[in-house]
Amino acid sequence: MKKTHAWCLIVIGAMLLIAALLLIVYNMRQDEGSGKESALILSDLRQHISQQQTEPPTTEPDLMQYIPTNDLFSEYATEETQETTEPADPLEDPVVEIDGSQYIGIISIPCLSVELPVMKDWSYPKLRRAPCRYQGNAVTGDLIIAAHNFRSHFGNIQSLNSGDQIVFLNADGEKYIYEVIQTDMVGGRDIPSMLAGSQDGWDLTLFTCTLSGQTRVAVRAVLIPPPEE
Amino acid sequence: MRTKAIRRLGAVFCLIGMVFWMAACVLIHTTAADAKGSLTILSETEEGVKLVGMQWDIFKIGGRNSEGKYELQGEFANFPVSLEDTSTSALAFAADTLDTFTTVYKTRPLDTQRADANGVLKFEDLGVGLYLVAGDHVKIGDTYYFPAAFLMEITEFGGTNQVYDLTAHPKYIYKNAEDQDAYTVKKVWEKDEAHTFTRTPYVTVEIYRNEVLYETVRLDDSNDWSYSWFSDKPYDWKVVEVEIPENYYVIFRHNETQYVVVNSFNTSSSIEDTTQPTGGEQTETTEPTVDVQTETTTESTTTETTTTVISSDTVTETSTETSSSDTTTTTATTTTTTSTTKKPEKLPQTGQLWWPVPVLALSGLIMMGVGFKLRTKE
Repeated sequence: MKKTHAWCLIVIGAMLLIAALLLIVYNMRQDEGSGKESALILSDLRQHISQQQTEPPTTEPDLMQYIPTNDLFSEYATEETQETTEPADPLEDPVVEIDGSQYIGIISIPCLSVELPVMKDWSYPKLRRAPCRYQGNAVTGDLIIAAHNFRSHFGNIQSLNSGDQIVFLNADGEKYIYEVIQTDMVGGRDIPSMLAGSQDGWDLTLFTCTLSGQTRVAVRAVLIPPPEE
Repeated sequence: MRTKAIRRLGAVFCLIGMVFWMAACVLIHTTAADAKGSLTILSETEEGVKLVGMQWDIFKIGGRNSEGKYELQGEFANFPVSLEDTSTSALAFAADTLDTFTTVYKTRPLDTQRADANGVLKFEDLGVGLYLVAGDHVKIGDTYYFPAAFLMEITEFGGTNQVYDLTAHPKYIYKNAEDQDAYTVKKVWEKDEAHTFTRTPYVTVEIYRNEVLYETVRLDDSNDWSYSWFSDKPYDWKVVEVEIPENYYVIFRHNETQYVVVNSFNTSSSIEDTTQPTGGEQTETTEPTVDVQTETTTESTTTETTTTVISSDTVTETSTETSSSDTTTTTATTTTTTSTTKKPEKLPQTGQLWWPVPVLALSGLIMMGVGFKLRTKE
């Protein structure tokens, strides 16, 4: 009888070990897949941004300047056309569209050797592909970027130290250089703490889940003013 | 014998009574139909610039049908312009559209007047009906002034001594003589979402510069149903759609640089809707409406006039022969849409499922360890 019990325990124990192993493999494959997908998007995005930077200014006259304040066309704009014809909001980061998805730029963390595209808004399917803007804009100094804790994404941001640099290149090719000032632990439901940071003097927040999934690591950074020419 | 005489006398009185009644009816009708009104236009900008010499044309375009609704009549009857919507804005669009048609088709006006040295002109002897009033642009100093067309109605009113003088303050678009602008025309389909198959694959529009055909262009999907052109100086540009698609009405609207050709589906046409409206998901917008009602009391009789003036212009009424009391009622309706956004309750879950790994591994190791120990004991 005891012999049977012993074998049962060994078999169940082995199964649990295999389950743990399978979960590790699954997570690593997911991590690797997301990393590859991000790298592909990053390559397209980089090309797009550099093209935009090198393109000579268009010789076509800008029709926008002739639109009067009582814009007649806006009255007839459908949702689809509104998105494309609305003038860019100066308080919003510019957007680039690649394969039907919209991106606001590229985030680089040199000391972690991480460089990733940033999507315009977040959803769980989007987060599996790349970091996403959670809220705010670089131009208004309250940008919050969320990403999975994949090693290829924000899995190692908790190891960032004060003074480490983070670079954000927006879709127009404008570079924002930040310096890490602190790392916070924020509860999974503590949205006010995550957002309230904007009153605490930071300009950029990166966050991801801890291994438990219950809390978030939030890295706060301030903008380094560009040197005056 | 006596009874017979009384009956005959009664019949004669009845006959006389009927004759009087019929005569009264005919007389009253004649008075109403012959009623006359006049329109004074103050051709002057809000800044007080008198637009001396500005030419204004008046066209009688229709009146009210037996149901009391506006309808285009005479040579305007065939224009595909709807007057069903009697809101201020809708009838201002109709005025813009009819003005374009009269320019392009060189329709002969009922009367033409020019503003005098004070910027004033007057159209007189206007019978009952609906009128289109359209002006031509003038250049004063370095500025071109383009007037907005408008509609006005003179309805039936009683009182033979009554003369109505309506006064209009039209609106103008100003352009500096040095202005070089880019103009755009855009084609829009409206109210045909349920039967888009009735749309034509393209439409042709003609662009007129100072009443002369300047360019003919085709609008379709390939150019996003729009076309732009440049002008080195201000001109009176008109854009007209050639061959209005069947079962559609047309509206031509414009501002300083934008022209819109709207083809809205004629809902009274024989084509039936193929889809049902989606009820609560749609947002209904009500255009603000402005009705001007004027009650006039004269010394001899009490008469009532309802004058609906529909355009972006200001029109006032003054009674010229007798003392009168005017009452103006203005109603405006606006619809406000509120939207609710569901607030997220937690931050995005950005973690992989790592926590079960140590739990599973540890449990597995313990169980295996215990199992091996039991086996060793045996």
